[in-house]
Amino acid sequence: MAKIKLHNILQVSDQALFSIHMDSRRAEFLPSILFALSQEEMPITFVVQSIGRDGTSALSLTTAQQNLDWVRAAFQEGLDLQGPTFLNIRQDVVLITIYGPHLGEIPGVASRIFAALVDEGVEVLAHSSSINSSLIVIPQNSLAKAQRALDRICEIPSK
Amino acid sequence: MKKIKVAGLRQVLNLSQIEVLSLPRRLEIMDEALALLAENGINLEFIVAHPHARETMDLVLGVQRNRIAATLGLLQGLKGEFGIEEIRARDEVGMVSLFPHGNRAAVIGHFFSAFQDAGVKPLAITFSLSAISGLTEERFLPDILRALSEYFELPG
Repeated sequence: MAKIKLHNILQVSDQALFSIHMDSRRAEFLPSILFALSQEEMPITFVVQSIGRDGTSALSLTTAQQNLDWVRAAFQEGLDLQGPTFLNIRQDVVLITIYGPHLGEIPGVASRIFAALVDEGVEVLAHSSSINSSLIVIPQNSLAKAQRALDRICEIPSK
Repeated sequence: MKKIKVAGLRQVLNLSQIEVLSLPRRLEIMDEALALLAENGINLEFIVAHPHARETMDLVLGVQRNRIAATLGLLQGLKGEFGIEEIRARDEVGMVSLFPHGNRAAVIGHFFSAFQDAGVKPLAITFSLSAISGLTEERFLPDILRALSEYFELPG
């Protein structure tokens, strides 16, 4: 099978993944917390959100691990979250961005990426695909395996 | 308030959203579900997968509206086999994507604010290298676009 033609694969290491569950009342405070993060120049490298079975919002985001304490405090205090049910943090993760302008138009790209990662035994902690890229959050200690998997199925012209 | 300049804004209509909820956190299940859809030529407009609880993930998929019956049929076939608790579908969904230049945290904050100002809870938020996208019922898109224009300045 032909390799997937990409423009680039980017990696951001030393990230922390925040998984936050909140009801509608708490979700109202989300914009002001995100604004505070921007004021403190704390970059958000990845964010996804969905609505769970119970109607609560589930938000996952990554930020640099060096900002972990500040970001945790902002969410805990800003949203009044207590306990791991509402706020879970996974440290030592890496964000991989797989970028190709036409990725969104080709069926099966995400499927092939997942299959390759499964073959290497890589755990995907969070994922978003839309428009022109697939973003994957994985444990940092799986980075070499993930690179091997992606090298097997992807072709980057400059490589 | 000073508006943030952005590179562009795009909306996509005629989508359906499928949520595979409380999926056991085993990557091979996600792999199998996505492979099944790909083998049947179903292109996904967006995919979001992230933790719902310690042991489960939620998978949110977007397909063209005319592919929803086929997509649901294929996924329902996996439900019993893999212990998926619930599969929900929603029609008449639209996606609005904002293409920022930088300062992502501010853009993300304002993006959420715009949804809130429009009185709309996003069905899902997806992220790509160049854009942040929000899913909503199509009928709310004009309100959201209006709210976004209060925070962001489009070129031209």
